[in-house]
Amino acid sequence: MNELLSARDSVNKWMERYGVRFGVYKNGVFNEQLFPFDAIPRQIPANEWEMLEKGLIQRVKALNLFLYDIYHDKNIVASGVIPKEFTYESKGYMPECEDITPTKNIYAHIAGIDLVQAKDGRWLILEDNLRIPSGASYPMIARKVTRKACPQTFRDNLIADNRNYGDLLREMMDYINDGRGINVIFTPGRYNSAFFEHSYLAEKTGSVLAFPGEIIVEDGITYYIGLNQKKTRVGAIYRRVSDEYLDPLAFEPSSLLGIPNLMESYKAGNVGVINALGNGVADDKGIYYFVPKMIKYYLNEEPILQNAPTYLPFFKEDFDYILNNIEKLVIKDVAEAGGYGVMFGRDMTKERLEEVKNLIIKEPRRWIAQEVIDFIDLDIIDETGNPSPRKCDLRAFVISGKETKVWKSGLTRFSRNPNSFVVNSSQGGGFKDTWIME
Amino acid sequence: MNTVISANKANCLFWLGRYAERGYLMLHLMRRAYDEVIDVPVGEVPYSDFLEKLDVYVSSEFTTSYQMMAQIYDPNTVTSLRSIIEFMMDNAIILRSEIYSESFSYIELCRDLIRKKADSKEMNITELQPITDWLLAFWGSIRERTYGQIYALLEIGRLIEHSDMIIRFDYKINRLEESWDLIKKYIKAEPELFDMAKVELFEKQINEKEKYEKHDKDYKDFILTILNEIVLV
Repeated sequence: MNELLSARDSVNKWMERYGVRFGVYKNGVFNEQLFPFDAIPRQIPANEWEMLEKGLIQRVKALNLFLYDIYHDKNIVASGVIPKEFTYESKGYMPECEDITPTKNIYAHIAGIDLVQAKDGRWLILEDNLRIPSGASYPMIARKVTRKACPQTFRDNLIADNRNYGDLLREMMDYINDGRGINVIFTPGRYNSAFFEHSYLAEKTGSVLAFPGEIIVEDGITYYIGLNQKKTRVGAIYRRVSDEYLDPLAFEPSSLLGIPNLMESYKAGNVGVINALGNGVADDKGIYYFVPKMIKYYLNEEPILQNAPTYLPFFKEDFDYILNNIEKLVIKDVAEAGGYGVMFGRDMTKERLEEVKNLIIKEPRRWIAQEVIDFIDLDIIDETGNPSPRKCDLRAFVISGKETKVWKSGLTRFSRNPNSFVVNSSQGGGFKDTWIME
Repeated sequence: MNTVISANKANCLFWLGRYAERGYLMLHLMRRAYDEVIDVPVGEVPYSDFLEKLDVYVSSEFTTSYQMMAQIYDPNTVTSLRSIIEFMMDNAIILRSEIYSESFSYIELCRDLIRKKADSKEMNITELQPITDWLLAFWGSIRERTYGQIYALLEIGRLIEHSDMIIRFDYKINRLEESWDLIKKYIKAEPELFDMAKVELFEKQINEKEKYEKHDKDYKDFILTILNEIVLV
């Protein structure tokens, strides 16, 4: 540990040198900032990881089956396991995806599952991210740099190598591509908050980093437009552009980012889109409540990993509980992400609590409530150079290609302030490497 | 490694090559001018010739080495060293997957240093020496890691800028001929990247050695214009 601590400045300087940044818009102005890295890693013992790995694979398999079902047979709704209000009325449900089967029938190729560890040691799922989960590049590059700065630490400890994330992605992309053409990572552009990740993953997967305007569809085939208008067929697109902006002819017509007619090419099975369109219906905060039920329904298994205790005001019993206990719950807007729309009852004034209650009464489908989990603190080295506890979560990355695999690492995010539970980078949080011990 | 590049990336590779060479040569020439100004008689405007050749606005207020240093940090002057390094980064940032993080890191280092030195109003030119070192390392990394059209575009950019500076700063014709001979290798290998009519015109013009040696301003402006229109990206 001493080696890690003494190399802290050196590691941060290397990260700066590699341009490990993320962009933030404040008052309409774009700024890039370093993602604060803490040298003390989260360590997960091998036996604990084994359980997490099984649980995560189980969860993602069920979510993939759910996505197929919801856009085809709809059995889970017909059998009453999930009310239709949580599927077809979800903001993430896309009627345009009805009856479309993505290449190899995989929807969530890259799933970012957020977990926390409670003080009693239990791991609980906080959120599923099945659209464009980001963050893997940070621990990936942090490890590369830390190994150089602290060789003895890595010699003395048996830590699973996490530098294979690019290989895992490429393997999956090649599987989806199926030899049809080149692999591309499609970025909205350099002013996107996660642009570092887009460009770094393109480098590490050997994919072409494509910008808006560089991909076209002709006669249902997707092409990358090279120098002198040379067309090269695209077999798989790892898109980092949201569904609604992906094809202006199918979705948001004002989108300048999108690829006109991509939907036509996708629908015909001529190009693989990673992650599939329409996944938002499965990572809606409202549907999260039903994931353990999905596991039982599709896999006929007991969930290995549990959700954080969650209440849906849509159900009368939960509605009453929430209104009577709001001051000890955390309320989340199902339509928000990135730490926005999260309200802790204990931090609100009486007037604000009343306002929130009224919002819930007015739109019960829009909200969920969760018990505040007293999750474990991990030490970081603060500005004074001393250890200081912070709330941390873990984003695990599950890659579904020929097989479903969990990347043996993850993004451990910590809160900026000692008393905060919000760990999102957009809210000023930092990150740690995640060591899976062997 | 992917080798398919779009028109926009080709343009960025070319301009990254140009700006990296411009930054390197500008610092080299500034160190020379910085030294020469020590001997400029009091009352004369130093650097005017140097700055004019770089198309930098010349003010009669530039009377000391320190004022010249202030000029190179100006983010609002497109020809300032700071702007050139920012432009390098604007191009490099979208090319990480073509040039690799290692090459990219040298540009990042240059940008961080020029910003820090501008903020601290550093007036000693020796403090900018790492920029020269990193730009040389950048080219070393490029030669090590890139090939084919990606390498060619960067190198064409470097050679065009090199030739441009040779003309601007009245270097001997043989320096320009050496640089042009290197460009011609790329013209042969990647003809679709060049406007062949302009190539022929440029070659014809630089064969008129007398005009070149006389430092005829109209002639030099003319060949500079042609040189800057030769590459089609």
